[in-house]
Amino acid sequence: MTRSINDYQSKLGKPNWCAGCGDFAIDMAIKQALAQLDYNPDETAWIGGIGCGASAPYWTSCYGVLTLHGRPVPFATGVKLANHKLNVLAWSGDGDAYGIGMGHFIHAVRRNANIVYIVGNNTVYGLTKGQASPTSQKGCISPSTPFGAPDPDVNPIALAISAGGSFVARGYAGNLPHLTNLIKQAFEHKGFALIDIIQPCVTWDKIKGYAYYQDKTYVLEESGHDPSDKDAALKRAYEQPEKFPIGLFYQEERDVYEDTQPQFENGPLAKHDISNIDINPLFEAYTA
Amino acid sequence: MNLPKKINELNIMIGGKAGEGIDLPGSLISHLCMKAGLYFHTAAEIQNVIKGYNNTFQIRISEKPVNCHDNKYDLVLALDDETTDLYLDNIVPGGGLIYDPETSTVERDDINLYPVPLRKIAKEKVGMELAKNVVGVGALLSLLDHPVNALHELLKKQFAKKGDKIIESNILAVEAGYHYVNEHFDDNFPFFLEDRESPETFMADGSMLACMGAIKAGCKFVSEYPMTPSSGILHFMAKHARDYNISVNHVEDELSAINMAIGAGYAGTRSMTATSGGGFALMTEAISLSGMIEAPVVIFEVQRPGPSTGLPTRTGQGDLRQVLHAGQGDFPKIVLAPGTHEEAFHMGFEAFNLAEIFQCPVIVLMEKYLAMNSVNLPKINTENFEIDRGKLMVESEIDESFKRFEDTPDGIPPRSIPGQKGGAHSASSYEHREDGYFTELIPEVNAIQLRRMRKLDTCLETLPLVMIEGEKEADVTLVCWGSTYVAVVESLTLLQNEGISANLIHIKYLSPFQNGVKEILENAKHPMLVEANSSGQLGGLIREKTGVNIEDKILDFSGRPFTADLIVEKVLKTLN
Repeated sequence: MTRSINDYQSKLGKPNWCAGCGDFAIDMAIKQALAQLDYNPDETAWIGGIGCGASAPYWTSCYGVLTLHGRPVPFATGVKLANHKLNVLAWSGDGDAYGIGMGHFIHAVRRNANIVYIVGNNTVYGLTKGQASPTSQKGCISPSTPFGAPDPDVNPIALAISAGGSFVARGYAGNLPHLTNLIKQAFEHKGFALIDIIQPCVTWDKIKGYAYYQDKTYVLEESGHDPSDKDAALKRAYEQPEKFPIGLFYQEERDVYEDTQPQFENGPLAKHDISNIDINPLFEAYTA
Repeated sequence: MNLPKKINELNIMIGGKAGEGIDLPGSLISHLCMKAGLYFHTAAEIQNVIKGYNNTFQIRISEKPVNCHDNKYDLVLALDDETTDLYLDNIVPGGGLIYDPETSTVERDDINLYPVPLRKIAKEKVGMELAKNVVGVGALLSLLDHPVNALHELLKKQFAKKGDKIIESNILAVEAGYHYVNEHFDDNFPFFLEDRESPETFMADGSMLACMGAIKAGCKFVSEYPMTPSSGILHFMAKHARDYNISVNHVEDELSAINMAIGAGYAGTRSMTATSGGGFALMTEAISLSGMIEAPVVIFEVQRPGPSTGLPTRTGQGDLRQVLHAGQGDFPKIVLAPGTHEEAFHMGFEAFNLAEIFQCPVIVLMEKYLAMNSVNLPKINTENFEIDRGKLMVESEIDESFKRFEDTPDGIPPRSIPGQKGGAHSASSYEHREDGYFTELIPEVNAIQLRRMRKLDTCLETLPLVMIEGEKEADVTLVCWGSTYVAVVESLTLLQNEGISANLIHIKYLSPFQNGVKEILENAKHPMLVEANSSGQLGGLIREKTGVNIEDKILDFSGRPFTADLIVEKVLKTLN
């Protein structure tokens, strides 16, 4: 191994998250995974949406983009298809991924392009002052739901599995070694890899902090779960709120979007020579 | 009626219910004309339904290139009664009408009537009532004195995939129609279709030509969500995706389409999306993102009339303001609008150079009329087409001093793409410094905003001046944009016949707004605006940019394209 975490840090500044935020752990886990895989930062695209963790691209030496709320996955897909030799990572929050970006989420899972998608799931809109999120439980009191959130929470793990997810996992920001390993596995997986990360919000979530989750998480890999068993994976996905299994719920070898198309066989599209394309055959094709 | 012979100058219309197949006769006749060495323009008018209701297909034929349709028909093939009911008066005196006496009763004594039992012939001779459209084509060829066997080869090509039996049936149908007319009617129809020696042409609609330009420009990425009338672009790019190594993606919605295309553009692949007004509305937030992170992207916006779902299969120019103002905040955006099919090709190419040179979104605004109607053209010489990738750096040029968003005199910063050593930076939708890191400091915020906007000034310097077309001095100056141009240009001659001298200006670059308009309009005797929307959107833009208010406006928002006749009528009305 020739690279260390320092090779992935920005020289321009340091993260400005709240003290104790799980984003620090996720950021570290990503950079550790990249270092362990020895990925070249110049060949790694790190795409954020809008949210707390989604600002992480400011603080990396990789090619970083801060996109729009809800759209990091389509943007990342465009980057990947433009240059499929790049390592592409998108990091969203639960609002980005499961609220405004839910449509893209389902279709990206279904499409199965080779991208790692990390969702810091803190069940709250942290950046915009603590409103309920799609993963907040029904009844959750927040500035936007003073009488309790009327909608039940979404189950991202179950959704991803049922949408055809080829790598569906959950991490916990309070277990760094496990998370690092999970992110590494996600990068090594061929296809769309989702890691939903339990990440208590230290500022807005006064009820469920680290103390709440610490004893309620358990590691799937240590509990005899078979990640190739879809039914078992779905059962585990519905175990909350009593228990929060972390680790790989489900993995399957499935056609990778860009690998099924011959357009990608002659190297990254971004590197094709476009200086002198012959379109005479197109004119020919539409003569009488 | 003994009228002078008219050779190779005629306007044919085929009408029928959706589902009766007016496309096939249209395609056969246009291909026949291409083979005969003639030029044509086709125009389809379609109701937004799957089956039923009257649709029409027009083909205007000439020995010279044709750019515009005309609603005065020389020969009509009516497959249903609505065609005869609605369009009988549009047939010129001395023209002809082929109709099925089973469905229509027709009375008009200054045209040639050809009652042909199309359905009955199709049933008896071919055993397939649906073949009545091809029987009609046979009848039409007989009237035009064009050899029927010219169609055999075309039918073989058209139905190659469907097998010999279908080919034989269609040949039977066309022969039956041909011979029926030969046997039952006098040979006195004054219009003729004859072969001419001329360079080989190809047939394409505006969408196809814009796509061909895009492919020539090296576009390798398309993400799109279908929306009439822009879907032809998606279909064409998808069809040729593997011939040219293009990743063509029919994605979940327009939000995804635009964000993917911007992602691909950011990563160094020339990329595009296409949509119509409603889909474009969904894309606007991301268009601003493209402006902010300075990632090139090309968007083809094919207009149909709104508001809301509007008239999905009709034409219009109601999206100019939407496109000009798309996206939050001020950021540079280039908007082009081709007038003709050939311009659609050139601008389809040019858009990708502009997007990379100025590192901003480029929107090519078309109308259904241009995008979905076809002409035939000689092959376009692309020898002098040059790819210009602007300030995209090669790896060896990137050094320690590299700042992705550097404050440069021309407003254009150097650009690196992922994979390049030493070029990594953060490209942020939040306001940022020259090195990409976020800032809210007043001098930095002001400087970068001014620097980005400066790109428009630099761009404007490269654009051609707007020029007068036609006589330099004229009684009337018609002002137009987009494909309204083709009817306006045709109206100049007709106006001259009415004793009115007229010229025109056609504004092709809407943002930045082309220079030259103010000077021309200030010296024009009587400018008139011609636009396919109800508020005179270009008129408003001209007033904003030049201070000149064009009082007289010829506006049509019926969803139907302008014809030269209509413009002449409105000009005369305005002058009186």
